Amino acid sequence: MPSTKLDRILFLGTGLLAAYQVTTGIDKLSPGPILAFTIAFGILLLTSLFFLIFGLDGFSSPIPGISSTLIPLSMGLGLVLQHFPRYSTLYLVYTIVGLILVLLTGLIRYHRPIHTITITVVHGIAGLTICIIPAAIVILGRMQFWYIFVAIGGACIGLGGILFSVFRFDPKKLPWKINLHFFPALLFLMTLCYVLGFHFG
Amino acid sequence: MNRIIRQIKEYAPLIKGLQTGLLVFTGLAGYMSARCPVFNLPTLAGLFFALAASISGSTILNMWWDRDIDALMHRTCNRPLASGKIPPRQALLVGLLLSFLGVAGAFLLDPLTGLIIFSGLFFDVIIYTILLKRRSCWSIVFGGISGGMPILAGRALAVGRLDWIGVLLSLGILFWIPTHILSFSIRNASDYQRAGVPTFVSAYGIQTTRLTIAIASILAAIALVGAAIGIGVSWGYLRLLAVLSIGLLIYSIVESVKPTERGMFGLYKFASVYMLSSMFVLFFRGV
Repeated sequence: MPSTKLDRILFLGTGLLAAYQVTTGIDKLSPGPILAFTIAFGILLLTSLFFLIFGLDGFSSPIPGISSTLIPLSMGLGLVLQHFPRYSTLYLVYTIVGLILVLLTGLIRYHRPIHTITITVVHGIAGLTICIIPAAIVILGRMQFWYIFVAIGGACIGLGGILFSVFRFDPKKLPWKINLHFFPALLFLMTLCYVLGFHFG
Repeated sequence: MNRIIRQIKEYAPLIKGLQTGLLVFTGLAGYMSARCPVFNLPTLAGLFFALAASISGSTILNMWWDRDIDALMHRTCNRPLASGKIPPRQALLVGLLLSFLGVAGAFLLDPLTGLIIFSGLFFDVIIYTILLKRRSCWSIVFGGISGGMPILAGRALAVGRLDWIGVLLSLGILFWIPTHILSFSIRNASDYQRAGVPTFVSAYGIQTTRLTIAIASILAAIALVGAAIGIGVSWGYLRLLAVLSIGLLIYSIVESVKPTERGMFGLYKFASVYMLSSMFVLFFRGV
């Protein structure tokens, strides 16, 4: 499916925002979170470039599946490392195990539902982490109100993950055109929320 | 007036705007990489003029020489010289004039910069286009050397001498060019074959060409990241460069192991985006 001009503008915007975040948006943090957030925003940047080049046809490749797993996992890890370093080992183990499970189930060619369910679970937990941690931090008064945008970004990535899973699991349940054109906007909105949250929060 | 506008429109495809623009930008990025005073506009504008004129001139000379083989290839048969829209003699004169103005302008800026830009022109027109392109697939090495000259010239103009960072930046471009050209030649292999132009694909096969692309990408990334560290690029920009370099490496390796025609064209595009982004990093690092 060819991408529209608006799709391309949104992918470009996502890439530029992610590049800004990698370059200057996370400079004041300690090395652990910087590494995790660099992975998250770096993959976001590469994914947006991938879609800029291939358009919406890129959804038929394995790249969106890999990205949609790696981005929330590394983002969640970054937030845990930044705000709850006590739980960082536990979350790191979850991140590694989750990633391995997603990769392994992806190798089982004839059991696609298992892979999709694994992605949904791993993605879901990471998405919840990204939603809950910033919200809790703002409620506790440890960060400014704007940091809530990181939680909104988490909600966007969660929504995107669910839609993407349904799309892969049973595409007939969603109208193809609406679904695919929905992703660039969601990706952009998610990145914008992260940048706003990190910058002003 | 209308005639002049029409002539400019006809000449526009002859200078390959995107490619020339990218090469000019590498030269400006090389200049800015030395943390020059950014508002030294006369020098920056002078470098822009010298590079734009000399690269446009050499591209026109390149097309003038290759007009016979361009006419044989689907991809290039509509170019103004190949299709006969512009008389060859007129194009030759414009190409020579632009090249002369570019090199002369560069010599006026700084003799070393002028010498480097002249070398780039010489390697591109004489060695690459006239002597080697129709004889050996290794001609792209010399095309690569000439492609690395603008950034070397920009750097030399800024620091007043040839330094190892400038050489490394130039090597970055030299190694990037195979990724760019070879992925393109795989896609258009039949076209090149029809015109009798030797390519890596026709000489060594598609597997070796893909391996060459992967190795060249790795070397390009190492050279550019090494130069960025030498320049003292901030951690933030270095992170961005690392992300893009890793992306290029993964893409090249995936395309070597599991190649597809569409993926190869994607790699060609990604290599351009990579180079443009790297140059932005070097350019804005200097602001």
